[in-house]
Amino acid sequence: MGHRRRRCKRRLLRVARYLFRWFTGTLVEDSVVEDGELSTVCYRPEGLDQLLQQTKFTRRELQILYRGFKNECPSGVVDEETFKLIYSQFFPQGDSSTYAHFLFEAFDTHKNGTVSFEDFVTGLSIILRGSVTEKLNWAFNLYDLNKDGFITKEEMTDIMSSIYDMMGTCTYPCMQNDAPKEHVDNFFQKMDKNKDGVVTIEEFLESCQKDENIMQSMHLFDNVI
Amino acid sequence: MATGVAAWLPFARAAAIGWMPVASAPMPTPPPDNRRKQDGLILLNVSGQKFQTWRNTLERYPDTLLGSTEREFFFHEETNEYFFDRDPDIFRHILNFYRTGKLHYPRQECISAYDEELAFFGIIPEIIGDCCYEEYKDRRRENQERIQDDEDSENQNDMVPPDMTFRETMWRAFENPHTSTMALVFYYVTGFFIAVSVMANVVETVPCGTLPNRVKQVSCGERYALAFFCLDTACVMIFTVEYLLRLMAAPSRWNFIKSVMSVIDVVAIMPYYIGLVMTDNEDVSGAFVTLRVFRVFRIFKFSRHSAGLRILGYTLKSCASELGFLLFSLTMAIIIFATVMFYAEKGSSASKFTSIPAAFWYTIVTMTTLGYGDMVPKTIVGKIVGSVCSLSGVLVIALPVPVIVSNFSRIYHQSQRADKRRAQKASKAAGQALVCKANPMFDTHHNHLLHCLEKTTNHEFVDEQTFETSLLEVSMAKHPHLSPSLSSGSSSQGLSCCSRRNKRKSFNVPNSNMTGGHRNSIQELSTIHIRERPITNSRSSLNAKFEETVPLNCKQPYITAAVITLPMPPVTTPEDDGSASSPDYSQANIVRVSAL
Repeated sequence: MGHRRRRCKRRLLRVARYLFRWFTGTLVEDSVVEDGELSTVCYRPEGLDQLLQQTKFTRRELQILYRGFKNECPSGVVDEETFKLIYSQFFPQGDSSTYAHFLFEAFDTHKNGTVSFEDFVTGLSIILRGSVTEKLNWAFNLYDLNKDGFITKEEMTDIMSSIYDMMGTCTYPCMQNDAPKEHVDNFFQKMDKNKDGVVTIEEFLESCQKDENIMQSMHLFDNVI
Repeated sequence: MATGVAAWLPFARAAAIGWMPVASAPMPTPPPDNRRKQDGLILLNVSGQKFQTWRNTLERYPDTLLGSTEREFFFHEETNEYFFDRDPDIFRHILNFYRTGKLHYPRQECISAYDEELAFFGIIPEIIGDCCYEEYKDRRRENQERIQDDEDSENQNDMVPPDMTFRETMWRAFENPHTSTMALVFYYVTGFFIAVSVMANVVETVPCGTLPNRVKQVSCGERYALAFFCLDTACVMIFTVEYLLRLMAAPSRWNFIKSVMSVIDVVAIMPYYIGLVMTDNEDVSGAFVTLRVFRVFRIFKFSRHSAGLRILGYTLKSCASELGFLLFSLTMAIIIFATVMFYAEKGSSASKFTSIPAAFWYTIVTMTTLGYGDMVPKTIVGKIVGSVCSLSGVLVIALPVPVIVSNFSRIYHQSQRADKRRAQKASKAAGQALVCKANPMFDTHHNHLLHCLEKTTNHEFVDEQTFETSLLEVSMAKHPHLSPSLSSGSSSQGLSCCSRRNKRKSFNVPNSNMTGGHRNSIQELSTIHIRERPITNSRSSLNAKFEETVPLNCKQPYITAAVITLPMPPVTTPEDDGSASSPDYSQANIVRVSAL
C-alpha cells in the first residue's frame, strides 16, 4: 500500500514540476550550444631536412608538394572524409569512396585515422621514386587489407569491386555483376603459384616481375611531380 | 573543377599504381609533360603597392589579363616588374581570386569602381562566390535603378518632343499630371468631383427633418431629391467624359480596359446609367437600391491620386496567403468555442445561444475583445468557457499579426530574392562555364588517368545517353528484323554532342586503319571525337561520310563549355612499342573536345 502511494506521489510530483516549469517558462534557457568549438588541431610536419632524408624527393619537389597539401588542408592533416571527397572529384561517374578508403588505409601507416604530410610524402616517395620492388611492395600492402602478409580471395574481391565501382554504371560494355569476380579469378590464376588460395608477397613479386605489362606500367607515373 | 583539386591530381595519378598489378591490358602512354619550366615569382606593382605571387598561380586562368600574354604590355623594364596604374585595394581581391579560385565582393567598395576593375582585368563577375553574389547583385541592381531614375527624371524634365501625336500628349497628361498646367487642372477637378460625389452619397442618407405633411423623418436625399439628382448627374458626366478620354488616349486600349483602375471607373458610373434605363418598377427597385451601393466604389478612384493607396492594395494582394491563414485559424477557433459554448449553455433557461451558428456571433465578439454584451453566458461552465475564449482570442488575434507583418516583409524579400536567384543562376552558370576553363594540361592528365582505369577494368566510360541507347540496342538485337531500321532511324535523328559508340564500330569496318585496338584508345568520358576527314579515301561508304558530316546540333542539356585538345605530335619513346594505342593517336587525327 505504501509502495503504491509512494509511486503515486512521485508521479504527482513530476507532473507538478512539469506544470510549474511550463508556467514559469523554460524558454529562458537557450539550448543552443555555443558553436565555438574551434578545431584548433594544427599539425606541423617535421623539418624539411628530415623529410629530405626520409624520402627521395628533391627540396623543390617537397616544397611544391607541401604548398599544395597545406592549401587544401590548412590543419596539416587529412581525415578520411576529406580524402574521399578529394578523390571522388576525379571520378565523377562512379563511386570511389571504397577505393579511397583502401588508399587511406595504405597511406595511414601510423593507423591514427589521419594522414599527415609525412605519411603522404612517404607514400608518394615509394610510389614515384622507389624501386620496382618497393612499388610492388606498396601495392601488395594496399591489397592486403588486414596487413597479415597474405592476399586472400575475399580481400582481392573487395579491392576489385572498389575499382569497378569507380567506373560507375554507364560503361561499355555493360557492367555485369560478376565482372570483378571474374577478374579476381584471372588474377589468382596468374599469381597464385602453389594454388593455396592466398597470394604471398613472394608469389606476387615473382609473378609481377615476369609480366612485361605490369613492369612497364610501374614507371608510368614517375614524372607526375 | 576547383583549382585546389588540380593540386591533388599528381597524387591521384600516383595512387593509380594500385591498379597496375591487377590490370590485364597494357596501359596507355601518359601525355607528355611539358611544363618543366621553373615556377618563379612575379612582382606586380599596383600604384605603388607591391604584390608577389607565383607565375603558376596567375596562369591558372589563361583568359584573363594577368594569366595571358596581355600582361606583358604592362611590364616595366627599369624595375623588372609589372606595373598597373589601378586601385590597389580592389586589386587585392582580384589577386585573391587567382590564389583561391573564389572571387569576393568587398562590401565597402563602390559597385561601379569594382565593376570597372573586373572589366579591366578581364574577369567575369558571374564567378563571384555564393557568399558575396547576392550582395553584389543587389548593389548592382540598386545602381542600375538609380541610373534609370536619373534618366527618367531627366526625360521628364526635357521638353516634350514636338512630334508627339495629340493622343500621346493626352495620355502623357493623364499619367503624369505634373507635365502641363491643363493636366494639373484636370487632375484636381476630377479629384474634387470624386470627393463631392462621395460626400453627396453620404449626406443623402442623413435625416433632414420632416416634410410638412408627414410625421416621420425623411432623409435629405428624399427631401432634396432633385438637387441630389442633378449633382449625381454632373459627377457622372464628368467621370464618363474622363473615362472616355482615357480610353481614347490609351496606347493599348485592350490593356487599359483590363486594368484595375478602369474597372473601378466602370463600376462607379454604371449604377447611374442602369438607374436611368430602368423604369420605376417595384420589382427591380430593390435591385436598383443594391446597385447604388456600388457608387461607393467611387472612393477607390482616389487611388489614382494617391500612391499610398496603391501600395496598400499591392501589399494586401501579396500578403494574401498570410491573411488567409489568419482567417483560417480564427475560423477554427470560432467553431471550437462556439460548439463548446452552445453545449455548455444548452441547459440554462432562456439562453440566447439557440444554435451553434448563433454562438458564432458571441465567439467572434468575445475573441476580438469587443464584448457587446448582447449575448452573455449564464451557467458557470459557460462563464468559464467564455473566459477561456476571450483569453485565447487575444492570443489568436495578437500573435499572427506581428508574425504576418514580419513574415510579409521576409517572404516578400525572399520571393524577390528567389526569383532573382533563379534568373541569375542561368547567367551565372554560363559565366562560370566560360571562366572555369582550367588549364588544359590538367584535363589531359585527368583523361589519361581515367583511361588507365578503363584499361584496368576492361570497360569504357560512356555517357548516359549512349549507355541507354546501347541498352536499347541490346534488347533490340533480339529482334533482328527491326535493327536495320533502328540504326537508320536513330542515326537520322539529330545526334547530340556525345558520340555514339556502337555506330562507330560498324563505321570502322571500311576504314581499314582502325581495327579492334582502336576502340580502346578513345575515351568516352564526356568527350566527343570529331574525326577530321581522313587523308585516305574513306568516302567509299555512306556510313563514314555520314560520320564526317555529323551535325553538332546539341540538345540543350548537353551544351557545356569545352576544351579542345588537339592530339600531341607522337612522341616516340621506347614505351610506345608496347602499347597499341600510340599508332592510333597519330593516325586517328582525332580532335578531342572535352567537356568540363
